Amino acid sequence: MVELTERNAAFAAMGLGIFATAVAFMNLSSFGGIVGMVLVLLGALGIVVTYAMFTLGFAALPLITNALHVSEHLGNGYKIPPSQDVIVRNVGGIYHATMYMQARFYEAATSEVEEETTSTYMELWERALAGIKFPFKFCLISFPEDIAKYREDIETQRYAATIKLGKEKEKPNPDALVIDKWEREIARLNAMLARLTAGEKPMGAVMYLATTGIGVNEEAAIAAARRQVGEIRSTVANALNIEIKPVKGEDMKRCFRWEYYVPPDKAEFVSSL
Amino acid sequence: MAGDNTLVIGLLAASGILSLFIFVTGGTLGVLGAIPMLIAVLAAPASFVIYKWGYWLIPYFTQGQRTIQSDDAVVEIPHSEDVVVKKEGDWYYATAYAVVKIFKSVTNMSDEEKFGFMELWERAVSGLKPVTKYAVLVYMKDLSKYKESIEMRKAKVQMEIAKENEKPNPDKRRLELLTREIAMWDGILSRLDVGDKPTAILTYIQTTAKGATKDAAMAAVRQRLNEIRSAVGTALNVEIAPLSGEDMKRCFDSEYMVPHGLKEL
Repeated sequence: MVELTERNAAFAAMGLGIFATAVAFMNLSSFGGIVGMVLVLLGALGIVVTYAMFTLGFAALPLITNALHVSEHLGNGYKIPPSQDVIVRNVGGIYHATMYMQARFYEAATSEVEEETTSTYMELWERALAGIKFPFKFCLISFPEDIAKYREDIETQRYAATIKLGKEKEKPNPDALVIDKWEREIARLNAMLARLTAGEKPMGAVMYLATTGIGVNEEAAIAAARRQVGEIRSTVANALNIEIKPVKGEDMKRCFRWEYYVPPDKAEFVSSL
Repeated sequence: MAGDNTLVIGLLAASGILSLFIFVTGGTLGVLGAIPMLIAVLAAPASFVIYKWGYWLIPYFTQGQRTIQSDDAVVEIPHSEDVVVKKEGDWYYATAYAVVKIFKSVTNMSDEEKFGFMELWERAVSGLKPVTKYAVLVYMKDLSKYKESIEMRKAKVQMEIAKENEKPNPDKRRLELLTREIAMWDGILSRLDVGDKPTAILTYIQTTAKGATKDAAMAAVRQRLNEIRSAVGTALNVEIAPLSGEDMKRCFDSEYMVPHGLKEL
């Protein structure tokens, strides 16, 4: 039986929306001109809204809850205020405000960077950690990728790059820079294939950070957490050469849930993203 | 959520059936057919809105609730205090945590060793089949306990100095060392007195397994944790020990990351 995941629900809604709109369009004349047009427009709008909610819903939710002043209680004293960018908890009169951030790495430590750069990163990371004097967490969730599909994707990319290189070379005045670009791309993809052949397994990773600010009231704790986020963004982002952005709404709740459990199967984990 | 899902499926079914009905009748109903068509056109996007935000939209519009209750943070910790169990739908998810004890600092490693360590780390991570979380946690030490332990160490050194002084020929070198140690503990204590927060770093691995019953999930996660311990521990040549009790709670509960003793600050 097909599980009702967010992706399935979105595709079902969009599919049926398209079907309903198409039927309305086919019966445009029988509904009467204006009524028929309104139905078609509503149908089209519904499809756009569904798609927008599926892709951008995470960004829209904090705006809507903020406007409607809707807060959420998660149990065990945890509360999400309408801004949906922080999780607050009152622990014996002291408020804890936790904020989550997403981290994006642009390169693996051992793939395309020099040995020297890797060791510098490690030292900077250790120093950055030693300098942090507030509760902070750096998390990495790894899951295995489908090796056959991964290999196929790389081979397809290599094939496309080879064709582009061939086309450039066939030109009467080939551009040396373009040739160099495609040759380097092919070499990079060959290296990736060689790593797979050597027994390395491809993996996917999701990274996030969390920090907890403390205060005697909710506002003070939130202000402390925001200040800490700023500090982390400047120190850790520089130390690791990564991009760090605070997360809100559903993304924040997902990070919060991952503290207690991470979907154990790759398919379940990926569908929950 | 189950109630919401029934509504979602109902709306999807209504949209599909009504669209099919208009498609089959071919507009013989005339303008009257616009009513089921309108329902069909609106039901499809409404199903997704309810699937995604129904948990707060429905109470908000039906009861005017501005505070939504959920149980995202409600978990069960069994007596053994080595796993966390959460029920989601029909499944139980049990999560276990293990500390990674890395005793060597990167500042003491050569460039080659650092690169080798990173390579081993990537290989160890990519070799694991289950979804696994690795985390580095900087947490606050319990100030009262920490202060007490430093004061105890200081008192111990003071006693050693007194013993040394009582000797007929006290060792001046040893006395100097002990005096320096006292200065070190005094320095730490004075830093604490001016509000410097004592922090510690914990590197841990978290893994989850699911099961139809609580016991099945707990047994599966313990087995999974053992697999990870042997795979990562062997690859990195580090000790990995399961976490339990307060140490485990520190991984997910802010109360243990920021202990009560901090109030003294």
